Amino acid sequence: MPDSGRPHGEPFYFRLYVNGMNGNSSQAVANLQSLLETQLPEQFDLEVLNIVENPEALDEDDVLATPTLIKKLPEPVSRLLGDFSNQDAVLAGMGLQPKAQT
Amino acid sequence: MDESAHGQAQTKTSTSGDGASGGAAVDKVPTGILGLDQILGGGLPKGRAILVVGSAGSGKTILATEFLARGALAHDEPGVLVTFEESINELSANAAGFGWDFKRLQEEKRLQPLVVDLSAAGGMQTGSFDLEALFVRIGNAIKKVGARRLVLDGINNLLASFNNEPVVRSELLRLLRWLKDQDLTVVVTGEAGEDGWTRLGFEEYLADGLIALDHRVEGKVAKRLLRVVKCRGISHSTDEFPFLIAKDGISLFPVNAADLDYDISAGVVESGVAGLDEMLGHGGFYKGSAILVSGSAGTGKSTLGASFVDAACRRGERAIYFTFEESPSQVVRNMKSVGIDLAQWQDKGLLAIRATRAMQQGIESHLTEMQEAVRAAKPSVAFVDPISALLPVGTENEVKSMMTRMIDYFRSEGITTMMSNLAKGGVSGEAADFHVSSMADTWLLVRVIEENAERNNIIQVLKSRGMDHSRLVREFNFTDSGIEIVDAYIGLDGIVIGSARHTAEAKDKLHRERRRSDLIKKKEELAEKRRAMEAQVARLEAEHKAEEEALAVEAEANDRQEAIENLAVNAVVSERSKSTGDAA
Repeated sequence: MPDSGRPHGEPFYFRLYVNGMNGNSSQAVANLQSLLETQLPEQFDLEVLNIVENPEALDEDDVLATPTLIKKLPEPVSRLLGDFSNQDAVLAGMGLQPKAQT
Repeated sequence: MDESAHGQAQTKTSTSGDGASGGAAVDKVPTGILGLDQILGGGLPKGRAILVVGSAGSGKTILATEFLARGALAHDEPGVLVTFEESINELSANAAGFGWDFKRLQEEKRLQPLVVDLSAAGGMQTGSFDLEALFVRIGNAIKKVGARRLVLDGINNLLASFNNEPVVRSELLRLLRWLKDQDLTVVVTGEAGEDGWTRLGFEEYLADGLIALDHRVEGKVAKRLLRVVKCRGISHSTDEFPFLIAKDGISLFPVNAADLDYDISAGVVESGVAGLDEMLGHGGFYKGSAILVSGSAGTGKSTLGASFVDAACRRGERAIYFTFEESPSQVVRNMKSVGIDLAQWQDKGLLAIRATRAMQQGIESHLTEMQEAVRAAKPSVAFVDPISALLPVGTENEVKSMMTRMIDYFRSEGITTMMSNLAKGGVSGEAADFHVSSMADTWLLVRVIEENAERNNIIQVLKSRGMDHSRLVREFNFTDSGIEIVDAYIGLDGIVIGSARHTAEAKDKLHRERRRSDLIKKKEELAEKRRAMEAQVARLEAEHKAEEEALAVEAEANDRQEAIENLAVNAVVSERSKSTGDAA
C-alpha cells in the first residue's frame, strides 16, 4: 500500500470537544470518525469530550469554539475547529497528505 | 476609599420622564464609582449589558474592574471577569495598584477571573462552528462564585479572532442575551477604532447602555472624559465629565455632585480659627474637602486662608499657598501685620508659597503648574488666593472645566483646599456667580459692615456639607494673634442667639446695612474688573502688534517675490519677442 511518508504505527492522539449531540457536534463526530478510519486506520486514538461535562478541561486547553479538535500527538500540537465537513482542510490542519481512496 | 461610602444597597429608582420604559421601575446596580452612579441616578440598570468604549489607555478596563471589585467588596455582589486581552498576572498586578486583591477575592469566592487566550482561536476551520465552549466556561465561572456581575474585557479582540466576524458577532449577541436572561449585569469593554465606537456595531441593538471614555491632550494637559451616551430606562446626563484615575480607582465628580454623603471617618481639619471651628459644627473642615471663602476686597479672605495654612504647619503638616496677586514676600509681610508668622514655616520647609500672574499663561498651564507644585510640596492643605483671578484667563467653559479638575485633583490627593473668591455683585452678594460654590463642600462668606463710623467684619457659613453648622452670622476681629471670632453677632439692637426670630431680624438688618455698603463694594468690584480688562487689553494689543509685524514681514517678502517674478516674466517675454522676430 503506498504510504505518504508516514511511519506505520506512529500513534495519533486526538481530543475532540463537542457540545453534546447537537447538529454540528454529531456531524463532526461522524465526519471525523470516517475520515480517520480511512486515513489513519488503527493508528489513532480519539477522545471525545462533552464540553458541558468538562468545563475545567476547556480552561486548560483554552477552547472557545465547538467543535474543536486538538491533535495532541504527534507534536506539534495543532487544533481544528468546525464540523470537519471540509476534508482537505482537516488533513492540511493535521499535516497529513490525503491518502488515496481504494 | 472607605467601603462604607459605597455601602448603600441596590436602589430601586423609577425613571423620570424618560418614557422609554413606560415609567416602569428599573432596578439599579451601583457601580461603586460615586460620580458615575450619580450621573446614572444610582447605578447601571440591573440585568442589562452596558458597553464601555474608548481608545487604548482610556481607562475602560479600570472602570470595568472597579465595577467588579466594588461590587464584591461593598455590595455583596460576586463577579466574573472575562478578559480577552490580559494575562492573569497583568490583571492582578493592575488591580493591586488600586488596592484590590484579586487573589483574595478569588479565594473568598467573590471574584472569578476567566482569562481567554485568543491565540488558540486561530486553528484551521473545517466547517461551521459556534462558541458554545466559551459559553460553558463562562457559565462555569459564574457558578463558582454565584456571580451577579460580569465583565467582558476587550471584546474587539474576540471579534477580530477566528477570521470569521459574522459568526463571532452573532455568537456574541447570543452570549449577551444568555447572560441577561440570568439577570446578570454585564459591562462589555471595547476599543473604539478610528471610525469611532460604532465600529463594534452591536451596541445599537444589543447593549442597553453606552459609556464613552476619551483621553486627549489639550494644551499641555492630558484630559480624561466620560460620557454616558445612552442608557435605556434611566434618565441621565449626556454631558462629558472629566475624571481622574486616582489611587483608589476612577474619580469622577459631576458638576452637580452637591449632595454626596461625606465620609465622616476621614477626619476633620481645623480651620485655624477657634470660633469658626465651632460654627462649622464638627470642629473644622472634613479632610480632603474644598472650602470656598467669598467676599469683596479687604474683607479678610486672605487672612482666613493664612490662618488655615498656619494651623496646618503648627500641627507639623505641610501646606501650599498659591497666590495670584502678590509676591511671596508680600504675603508674608501682610500676614505678619495681623500676627501670623508664615516665614517660620517657610524656614522649616513646611510651607511653600507659589506666586503666579494669572494672565501670564493659559488656564491649563495653571493647572499643570499647580499639580507639579503639589507633587513637589506634598501638602496636606492648600490655599488658592483668589481663585477668581483665573476667571478672565479662559472662556467660561475652559475655566469651569479647569476648576472642576483642580478641585477633583486636590480631593483625590486628600488635600483639604481653601479657595478665596472675590465675590461679584448681585442682589444678595452671596451669589458668587461662578462655578466653585457648587463644587465646594463648605462655603464661607465674609464681609464688612460699616455702621456708626465703625467697620465690622462679619462671617457666615453658607453651607457645609455633611455638617450641622451654625447658620448664625458672627463677627470677627483681626487681633495680634490672627483672627478672633466674637461669641455671637451682636445685632444692631440686641443679641442674636438661639431664636430663629431674632436671627431673621438680624438678617433683615444685615440686608439693609449691606445695601448701604453696596456703593463701596461696587466701587471695589469695578476697580477689579478694570484691572482684569486692562490686563486683557494689554495682552490683545501685544498679540495684535505681533500679528501686524508678521504681516509686514510677509508683505515685504511678497513684494520681493513679485519683483523677481516680474523680472523673470519680462526676460521671457523679451526672449520670445526676439525669437519671433527672428522667425519672421
